[in-house]
Amino acid sequence: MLRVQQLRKTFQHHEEAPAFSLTINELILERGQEMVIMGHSGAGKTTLFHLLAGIVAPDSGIITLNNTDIVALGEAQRDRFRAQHIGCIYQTFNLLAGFTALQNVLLAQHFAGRSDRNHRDRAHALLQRLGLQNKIHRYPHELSVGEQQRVAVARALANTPSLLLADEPTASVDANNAEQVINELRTLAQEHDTMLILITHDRYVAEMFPVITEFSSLTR
Amino acid sequence: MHISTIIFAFLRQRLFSSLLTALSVGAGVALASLLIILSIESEHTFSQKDTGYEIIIGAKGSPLQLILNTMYHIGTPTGNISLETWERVQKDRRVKSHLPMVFGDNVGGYKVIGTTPEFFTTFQYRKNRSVTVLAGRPFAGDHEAVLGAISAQNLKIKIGDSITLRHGLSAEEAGAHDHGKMIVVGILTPTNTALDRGVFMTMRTVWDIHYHEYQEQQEAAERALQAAEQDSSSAVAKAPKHLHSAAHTHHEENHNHHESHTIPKDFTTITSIAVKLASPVFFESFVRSINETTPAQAALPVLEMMGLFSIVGNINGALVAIAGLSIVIGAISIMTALYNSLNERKREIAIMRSLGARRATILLLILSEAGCIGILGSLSGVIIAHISAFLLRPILEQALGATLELQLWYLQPWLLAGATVILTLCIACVPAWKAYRTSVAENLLPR
Repeated sequence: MLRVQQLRKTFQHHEEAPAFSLTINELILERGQEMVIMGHSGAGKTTLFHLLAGIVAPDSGIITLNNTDIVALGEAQRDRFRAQHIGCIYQTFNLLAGFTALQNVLLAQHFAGRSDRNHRDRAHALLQRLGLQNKIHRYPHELSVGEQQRVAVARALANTPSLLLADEPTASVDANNAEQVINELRTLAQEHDTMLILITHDRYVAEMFPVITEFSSLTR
Repeated sequence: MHISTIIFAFLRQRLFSSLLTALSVGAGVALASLLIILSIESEHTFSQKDTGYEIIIGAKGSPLQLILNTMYHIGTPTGNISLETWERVQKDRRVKSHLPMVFGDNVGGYKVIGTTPEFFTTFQYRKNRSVTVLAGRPFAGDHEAVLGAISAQNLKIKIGDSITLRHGLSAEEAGAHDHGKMIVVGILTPTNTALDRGVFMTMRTVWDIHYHEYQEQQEAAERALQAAEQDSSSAVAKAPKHLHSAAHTHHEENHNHHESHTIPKDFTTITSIAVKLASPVFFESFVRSINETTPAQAALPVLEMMGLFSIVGNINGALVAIAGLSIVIGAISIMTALYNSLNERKREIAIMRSLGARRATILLLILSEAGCIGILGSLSGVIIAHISAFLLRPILEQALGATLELQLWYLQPWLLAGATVILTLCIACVPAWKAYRTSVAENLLPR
């Protein structure tokens, strides 16, 4: 279960920009649930993504995932916790250029301290499931955009996370691929009983979900 | 996935720049290692105190020049001394053994040394080490030659072969002596000294050749003069052909029997005499008597070489310091390369951090990358230095006039390599720290 309460973070888009204050009163998500958060650009969606992922620490507030308060953890513990419990999918996929598709997935497992045979098998199975069985030894630049996206999905799910966070995951692909990606994400999340939070500014993407949460409603 | 796979992927991604950086470190290490090896070897070669040459007598001039020329065949002789000086040394009761030497020609670039049969008996090139013949026999008469081990090997000469002396001290100098033909009768056992690069014969042989050469030059000059006179007296008349053939016949008649004539005194000079005294107590008085009462000088090799090394040692130290500096520059180049690449890699680091890599892991990765470049550079540098030492050996031996006893490996360059890796790691802490401090959130988005 994910519980966010009274979360506050002051941030700037760039050094000379005025400071924004992001406040989330409450956000609760049960095991296996999904949520699409829609908001306009510059509203603080990516900051919320970073806060939930434990990449940045809030000024105040609570974020508990599976009864662990992420905010209370030290930086190194937070890194390890993120690796083991949270899967992240970024708008630009953020694959490591020097590593093959398989290595990108294995790297996520390595940093989570899960380099055993079972996890290696899982990495292979995920890539196969996403139709990349013949391309696991290809480098990102040797893959199409859609294939890169699927590697990013496989990597996010490599450690069987409790929470899957996706920030504008369809921004780099066309409408057909976008739908396919969203469907795959939802299916995979449901199969593993994983909570899914998808952040987007795209109403077309948001409308693929039964319920849309407006970003402004969270910050009210 | 093992951490080494991650490091390897990092290196592979920047293979060219990693190799270039390793090369810059390797060049510094190779240079420093080579200088260290050569410094060790040259000091070992030149500072041998058990040399058989206790005192060297030669023409006045630089004592160091006299010693370098006599013992190492480096440079030119200081001049010549008369037979009287040698006779005086022979009569001196303080002298235990003596060996006169005449330098001044070469066979294929290897110096010709005219000496006496004592070369094979009383002379010792090192303490209790006499010159022995490996094959054949010592020279017995004139126009017989014995070759040093290296001269024989490099000139591909065997016993019974005929060799021709060339005028001058090096192979490049002017032509062969018409009368410089002689038979090789023996090859010396290797001594690991400049003797290995010599061609030995009796002093009389060397004198004889020089005298004949002189005679020929005089005859040629006379012929040229006669021709010039005839040309000027009669424009129509041509130089009589018989003059040349007559001169030639005369020449052959004259020189077919090498030992049948006397050589004028001007041609019977000596370059140097290696002397061993009956007791060290005579050193001072003997040296003084030579220096003050003869036109020659007596020089002490041990003393002169110590003096030389106090100068060369400083230069060596300076060279090694410069080479050391090039290692520091190499290490700094690793730091610069890594530091510059960090700007490109901030996103990579941020991605890894977002995947759960700890700051310490990033620090370790950057240091490992620097360490790998440092190790690769240092290893290749030391190996290049060892190979270069062997490749440069013939040139160095020729230049130093001594046989370098190179070993397959030296400890010092490896210590230097180790120190270089440590230095690299220390300097790489700067970019590693920068990587450690990389903000994840700021660098996750593409620039």
